[in-house]
Amino acid sequence: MFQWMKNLHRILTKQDLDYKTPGEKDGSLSYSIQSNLEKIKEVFTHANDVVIRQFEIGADVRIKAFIVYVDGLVDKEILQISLMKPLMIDMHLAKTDGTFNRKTAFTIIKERVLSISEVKDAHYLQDAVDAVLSGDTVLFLDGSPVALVASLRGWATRGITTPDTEVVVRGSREGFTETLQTNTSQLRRRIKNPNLKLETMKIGKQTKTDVVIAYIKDIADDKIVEEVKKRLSRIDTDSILESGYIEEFIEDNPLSFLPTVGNSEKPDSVAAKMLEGRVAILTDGTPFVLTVPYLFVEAFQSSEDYYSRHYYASILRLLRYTAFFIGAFAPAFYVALTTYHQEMIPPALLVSMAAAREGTPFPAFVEAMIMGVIYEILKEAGVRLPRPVGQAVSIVGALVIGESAVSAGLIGAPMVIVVALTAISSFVVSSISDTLSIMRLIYVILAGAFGLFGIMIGIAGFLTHLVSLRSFGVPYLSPLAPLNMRDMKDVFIRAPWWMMFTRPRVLGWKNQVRQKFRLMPEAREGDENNK
Amino acid sequence: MRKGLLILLTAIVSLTVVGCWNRRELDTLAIVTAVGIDKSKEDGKITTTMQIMKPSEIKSASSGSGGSKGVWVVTSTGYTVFDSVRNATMQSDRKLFFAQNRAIVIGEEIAREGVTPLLDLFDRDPEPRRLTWLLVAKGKAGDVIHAEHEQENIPSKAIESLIKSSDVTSMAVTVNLNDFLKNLSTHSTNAVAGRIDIINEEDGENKKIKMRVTGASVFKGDKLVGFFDRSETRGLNWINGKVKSGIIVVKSPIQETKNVALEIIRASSKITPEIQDGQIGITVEIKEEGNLGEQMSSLELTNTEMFRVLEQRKAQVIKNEIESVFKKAQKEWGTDIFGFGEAVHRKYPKEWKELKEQWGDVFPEIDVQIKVDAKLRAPGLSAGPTKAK
Repeated sequence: MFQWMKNLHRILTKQDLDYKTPGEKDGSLSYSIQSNLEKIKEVFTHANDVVIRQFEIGADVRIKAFIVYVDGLVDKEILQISLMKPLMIDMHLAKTDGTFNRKTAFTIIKERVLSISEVKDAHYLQDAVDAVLSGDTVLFLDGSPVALVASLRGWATRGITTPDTEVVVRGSREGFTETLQTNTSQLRRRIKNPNLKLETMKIGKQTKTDVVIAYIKDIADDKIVEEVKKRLSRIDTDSILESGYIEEFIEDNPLSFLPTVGNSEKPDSVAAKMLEGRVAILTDGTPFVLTVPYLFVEAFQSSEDYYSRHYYASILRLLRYTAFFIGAFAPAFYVALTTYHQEMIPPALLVSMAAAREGTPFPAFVEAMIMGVIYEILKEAGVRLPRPVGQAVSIVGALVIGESAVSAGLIGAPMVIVVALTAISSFVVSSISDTLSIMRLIYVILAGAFGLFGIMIGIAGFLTHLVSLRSFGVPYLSPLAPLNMRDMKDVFIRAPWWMMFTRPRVLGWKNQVRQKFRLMPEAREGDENNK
Repeated sequence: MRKGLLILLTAIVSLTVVGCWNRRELDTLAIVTAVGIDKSKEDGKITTTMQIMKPSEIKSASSGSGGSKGVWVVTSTGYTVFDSVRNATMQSDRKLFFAQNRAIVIGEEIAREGVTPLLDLFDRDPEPRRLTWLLVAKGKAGDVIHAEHEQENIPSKAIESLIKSSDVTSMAVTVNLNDFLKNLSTHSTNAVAGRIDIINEEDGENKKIKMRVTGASVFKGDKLVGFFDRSETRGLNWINGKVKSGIIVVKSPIQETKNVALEIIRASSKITPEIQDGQIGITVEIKEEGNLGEQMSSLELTNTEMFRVLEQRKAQVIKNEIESVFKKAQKEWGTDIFGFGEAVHRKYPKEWKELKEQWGDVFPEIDVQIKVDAKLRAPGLSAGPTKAK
């Protein structure tokens, strides 16, 4: 019966999968250029985007050399000007006083000939190959067991654009891009401080994706930084194509339906989170940057809260919490009230609700499920379809489902209102809207089976789960549980900036003071009119 | 693995199989909005008349084709209230649902025989609310339930609104089931309930039954002893401090044929018992404030002397109203609906222990002093009388 499981186990435990990494770490480079060339050619067989160019350097003493690069990853113009030209033409002008020979060639070329700002040495074939694949140009010289890695990267990238998620009215419109260097530069531009540390790792046996751990040394908890590094180095997988891969590998509670790793597309909000003591994980190839630890309350915070005036920002906060509760409980509540607790509905409302329910063929529970599924389908269709078609979908959704289903008597009008309200509410807290969909489904089932008791059991379960969650060792529900009154200034409300003089305790306890204590603007001294 | 599967299976089974056992969809409920209880023609039986909401009619009425009645009235008979309510299920295809019931109306005839047996169900069963209004019909309760209302297509909604809006006249008693049962269970206060009248209007062939909520029905023990008319009811409300607003009509001091309407703005009462040499005396102090609301005479009234005269006349009207209610309740019926027993109980707890059992005999003999302090405040927007030139 469990034969298939045994097979699966055998496959998974088989060490050293079918593929081999090209070249071993101990594969040192040879003094002979011929041998190096052969090795390189062997590694890059059938890879026709890899260019190998052989040439000779020097007039009197001629040294064989070749460069390797991947076509498309290298800025060819700069390659011509700063590598090929100096080596093949300017070399003749260099006054070497006859010291130029096979032994000194490498040093002379590296230190005096090449006008390239970023060069590295590669002692092993593996390093050279990795460099080529990352977009560097590697120069091999005869008689030198070290290859020169010149960073001449240049490839087609998408420019910095406004992100589609986390749209703001006020605040930076820049978003991260798919290019790692652009992303780190955007962080550096915001935090001009040597304490901003960016540590690189490569993850993924096939993809060798660059992953950068970014944190601010004086603020981030060392333990959390260490934990992030530990968890990232644990990942032993084929490929990392998006930060979502990493997210699932490093979560504290991988089976929870709540996210314990945050993500953002906006450099300003990532910078702000790092300044509170969080660690950011930037992944090459995606604009979505992960931030850990992630707290539940972050789902209700928006970068714009901190940029706009605090009164309205606070109202918006409370509104988001309300929207969360509507999004999670409205259909369940409707089902519970109409099928079990009719006495709880105010009389005037009961009349119109009963009138709307009159003659509908399905029980409220089934109605809720149908409408829930239809809504999810519409949402998915709207996201996937090309924009012009997407409009057609919304028209079909609004007219056919909303209007016709009600007038045809298939679905009660209150249910449509409830589902529409739910949908709009869940967009307000968009970062956990997928979680809300699942919660909603569970609560509707519980309400359909047990009424309000079911919902209460569900809420108790949900709260228990919330308080049991940890994100990189930090309680998920903090500062609500464990309660920290000082941090409440940024939970249900957003206090004015001059009041938020400390960082969140659970995150930035190492360096708690954010600013001077008394920064509230006051009237100018001696200004009688302004008192 | 297997354990997890088992838990999942148990959860699914328990949710789908035993769940939903108490499920009632809205469209399977017959929402009762008013109940009338009468004596049946058959001996020893009870007839209940129930007003049941017809959501589909209300729906079509709101979309414009309306004019139809929004309720369906079911009458059924049984040996007890519960029995007859259950028997109604033989006619209704939906389950009767009492949690939204607004009013219980008891017929005069059966109320005179005692109401506790009739109200037991509403006290015992979890579904009906104790905040339901309680009324006694002058006549048959069934007729009240059958009565229509021009403004509301659910007549019971009109009953509720009429009860609530009686604040502006203070000429009706508003009592819900909870208050009534509470008063029934004490020695110190007798119960009153609302009163609802039926008006038969004959407009050619069109026969219309309408209703009016006014007055009060007075109980001794659990038996109805009689009804109060409007001014007697306001007399009762003066004593209980329940007068919120209303109009007091007095004769104009200048032209004795013309009327002046004085609006009550606020009123309060104070009941002070006094026991001297075994004699119980009660002082009722009424404080009232009002405005000049309307005057029909053509002469100037807005001066201090006139106001003093109006105040005296107003105080006399209030006093008369209170005296009339004492005459009926204390002397005629001997039922303490004013809470005098409770007042004595509070001030003389020791004496009350002896008085408690014989309160019914003592009460009619009590000497009651009435003091009315009526004030007239504002003359309104116009200083002089409105007159044509």
